[in-house]
Amino acid sequence: MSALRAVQQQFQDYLLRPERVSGPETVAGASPAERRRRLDIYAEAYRMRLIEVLEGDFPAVKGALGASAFARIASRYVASHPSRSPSLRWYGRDFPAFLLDDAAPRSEAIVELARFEWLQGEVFDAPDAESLPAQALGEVPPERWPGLVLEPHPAVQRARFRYATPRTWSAVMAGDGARFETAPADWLLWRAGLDVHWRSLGPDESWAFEAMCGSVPFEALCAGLCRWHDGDAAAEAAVSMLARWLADGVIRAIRS
Amino acid sequence: MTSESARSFLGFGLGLRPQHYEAVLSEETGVDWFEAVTENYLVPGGKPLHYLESVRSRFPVVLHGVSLSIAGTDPIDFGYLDEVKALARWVEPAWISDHLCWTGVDGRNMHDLLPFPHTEQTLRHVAARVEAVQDHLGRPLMLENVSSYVSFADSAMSEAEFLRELAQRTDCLLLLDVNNVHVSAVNHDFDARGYIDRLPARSVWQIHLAGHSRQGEMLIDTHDAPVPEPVWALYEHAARRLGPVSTMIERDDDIPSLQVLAAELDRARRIALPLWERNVA
Repeated sequence: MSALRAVQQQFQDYLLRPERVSGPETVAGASPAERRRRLDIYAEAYRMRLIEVLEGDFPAVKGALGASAFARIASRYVASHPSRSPSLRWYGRDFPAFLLDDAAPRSEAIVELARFEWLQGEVFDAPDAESLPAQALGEVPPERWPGLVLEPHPAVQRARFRYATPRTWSAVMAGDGARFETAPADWLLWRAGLDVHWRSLGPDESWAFEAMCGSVPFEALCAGLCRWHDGDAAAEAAVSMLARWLADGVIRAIRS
Repeated sequence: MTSESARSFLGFGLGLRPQHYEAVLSEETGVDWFEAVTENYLVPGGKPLHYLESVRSRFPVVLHGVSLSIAGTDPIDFGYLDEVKALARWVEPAWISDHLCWTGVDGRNMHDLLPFPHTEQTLRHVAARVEAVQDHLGRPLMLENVSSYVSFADSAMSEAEFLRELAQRTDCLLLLDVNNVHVSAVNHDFDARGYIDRLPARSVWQIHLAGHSRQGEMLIDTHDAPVPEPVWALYEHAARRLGPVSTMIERDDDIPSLQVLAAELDRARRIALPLWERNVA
């Protein structure tokens, strides 16, 4: 092991566990206390930087928990989750799951809020792709409708929440405080222009959207919707959903 | 490649920040060019890449990374470099820079610009890595001096001497952060002007200006305040010594409006242009 590597490992150990190790012996200083004071600038900056990243990625979780409770939980996450990525963009990926293990009160609802915030980030900078224009459906010949398969836009996400989490998020971000109402539903998140949008899905549309993402042809989609709609109404519901998806810009392509 | 006559002069620029995206594209500010933080654009798509594309179509852009870890002892992350290379392919930056530092070992990233001893051994180590990176990117790498709060008893040369040797051995370019020189000079009690005088002028292609904060007797490189008077004075010295070098203000926190930063940038113009009037049309 080179001398440089040994110094770097000792330096990094200090940043990760400043209370347990003393840092590289070759750090210059008039006294051990002065060396520690200088190394602590790096150790504190490391901790604060990562906490700031979590604050930026999970503003509503911070708002719901309060700044000091969030800082305590974020500190524990930082202590147990060293970054391994060149970019801080991905540092908070495991934070929602970490919240589940944490002893925070209302942790299940908080975890959902964190999942929702992380999903917004995933939609925000997902790959670019043109959405299919609304008139595209009109260009499909009738005989090709039964075999029609849709391809979702890469920025689309679907999530199931037990609480009214997106509404809680909006309330917290507006400064109205967090209320965690139980309201199980599926939600669709997508990007329109450059901004992230979302809306709730009824059980029929949620099933249909998942089927669509799984390349289920339109004919089978209509058959499946008979669980919620009688006869011709199922086909009408399917067409109506398709039109809405196209208007929202969540469809990338139609194949048949 | 690094002769003074070949040095590109982009004028006076700013760090590209998300809160300024719309203003950069819609307001007349007189800012000549922008520096984009590489890692902020290593994402699949969406708003960051949209605005970077819009900005690069109207202004010269340079890429400034924070994760290369050129002085690190883990293997060079060629996967990361491939991402940088792919980004550079469409951004077409005037140059690509990072920092003379390491950022972590054993696969970890401390997301900080960490110091190391300046010895012949570490110089050889860093020079070999610079050459490997330059070969991979197919272009010169530009390296910036960082602020530091610790030094090492076994350092055998100053950071300026280290940079000078590194530039001579590898033909890499240098990014002089004047604030970082000032911060380190105060923290380690060395002569900031002497530091700048020891740099090879022909290798310095970019200058950063920034502010800092004080913590007891130490200065901390926070980049969250206007450029202070000692840094302006040191910039004047650097401008006189180095000749026309693309100069920008790097503000990372407590970011004011684009117009406020553009007005601050005008002070750099007022300081440097009279010194460079024979060189800059």
